[in-house]
Amino acid sequence: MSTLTAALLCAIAYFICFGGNWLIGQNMADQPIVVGSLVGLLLGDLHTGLVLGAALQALFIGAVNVGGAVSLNPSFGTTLAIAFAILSGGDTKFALAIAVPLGLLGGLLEIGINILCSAFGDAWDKAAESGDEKRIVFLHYGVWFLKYFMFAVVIFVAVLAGATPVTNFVNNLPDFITNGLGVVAGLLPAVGFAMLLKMVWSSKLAIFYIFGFCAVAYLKLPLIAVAVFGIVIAIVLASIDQDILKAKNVNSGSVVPSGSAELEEEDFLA
Amino acid sequence: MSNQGVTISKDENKMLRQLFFRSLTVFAPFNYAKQGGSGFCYTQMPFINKYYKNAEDKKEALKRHITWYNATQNVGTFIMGLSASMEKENSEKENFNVDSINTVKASLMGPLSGIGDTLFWGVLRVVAAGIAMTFGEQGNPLAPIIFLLVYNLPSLATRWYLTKLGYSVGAKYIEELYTSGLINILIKASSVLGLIMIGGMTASNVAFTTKLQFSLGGGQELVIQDILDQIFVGIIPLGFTLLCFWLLSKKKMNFALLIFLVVVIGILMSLIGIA
Repeated sequence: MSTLTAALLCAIAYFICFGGNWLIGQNMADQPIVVGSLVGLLLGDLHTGLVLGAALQALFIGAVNVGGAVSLNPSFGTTLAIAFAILSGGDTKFALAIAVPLGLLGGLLEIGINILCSAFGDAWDKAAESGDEKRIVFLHYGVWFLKYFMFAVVIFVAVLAGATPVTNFVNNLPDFITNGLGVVAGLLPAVGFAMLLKMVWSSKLAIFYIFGFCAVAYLKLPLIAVAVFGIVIAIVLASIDQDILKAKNVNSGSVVPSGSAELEEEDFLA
Repeated sequence: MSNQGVTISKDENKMLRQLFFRSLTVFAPFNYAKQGGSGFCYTQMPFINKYYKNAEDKKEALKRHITWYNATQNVGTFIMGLSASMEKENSEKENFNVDSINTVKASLMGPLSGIGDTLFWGVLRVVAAGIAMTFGEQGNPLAPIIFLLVYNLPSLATRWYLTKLGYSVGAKYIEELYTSGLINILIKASSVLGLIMIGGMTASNVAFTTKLQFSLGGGQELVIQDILDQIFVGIIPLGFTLLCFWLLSKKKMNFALLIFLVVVIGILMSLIGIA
């Protein structure tokens, strides 16, 4: 496969995953495990794509896009790192080490493109003032396309220009760096998990973190089993808490809104 | 509180379905001027066209909804449904306070996003990733499919449920969920699930093995890694993750700086032969 073809395929994969994620309900197609598989499939090395995608998922799991604040662009880092790994002959350690810095660059690019797209704000206001619904909708989808097309062009250029120098660079690294990158790849997921912990941590519940850790470290449970046990424990705790709440409400005479129990169950089925 | 006796007609159900599908695109053209404003306006159009006969009223409604909007999209359909029901009310009642529509929207974005981010980003996505990663590490092509299904089925179900809920109950519903304490139970239970999952993923994904060993004489070697494993399996990965958490949360360290430090430390340890 020529570098030109590879660059084009990467740009398409990125457009589908990243653009598709935001067009269709933030369906998480921009997460590394999906992006990696698609890039691997298109570049003819599905296995590397899957394995690296899973590893990068751990690295990027802490990249949380909350309230439009951009820090990392996981799909940008994943697409480039896996493309370079496959095109340079499969050095996975190097891919893992460069993915996060590339993801940070992607985050900066995203801020830049968001600023550019803000120029359409006035056009939307004018369309609304003149009651032109069609124009609002046209801009809605048009800006979407323009935005992710720009991202895809950057990916295309980066793969095209980067493949050869990156391959040369990887092949000439001294041993201690190659080994060091392996160490880095082992430690970096810690940063991602630390970011996640920030979202759900409370000192009262911290013991459950240790529980999950030991379930894998000592009991060697697969993560699927950990998820199932976690769900069971969460439901048991919630039903106990609900009973306590009901008892309290009977005493104080306040009423619990109906329909909330269904809502809860729905989320638990997660 | 009971659902305020609003029955959804066939016509309305059709419009709610439109709202649901359109809501999927809410942040498609995300930018700093509108964020999800154009998407929000798009979801309200079926209702605006149905309820307002007068062109001026339609324009006013479009202008109302093209303004800045941002809420976690899995739960934002509650606000969209509620806003649609308020547009209906406005079209029927002479003395309806129009400004209350945007006030209610703005007041719900924060609380709903707070819980939505924790549930969907912090927990559901993590559970889906944890399950799928087990498959991906073995090179099983089902990994991305499992990930997308585990995440999206509950996500879409919640979206649709909240679309209808938002349309049929009032804004007070959310307030009462908070004051009644049910939201706290939900957040606590999902945090527990999230913590267990993150703990398991820390153990399976953070790796560190030291090469350090000392000769004790007589051909005996003191292998540091063996001693560490006897104390507590995975003590370094666990300790290191907690250290990162402490640096990020208590010391407010910059995320990019921490990444940079980890890269430098890893290569240094390789250089001096610790790992």
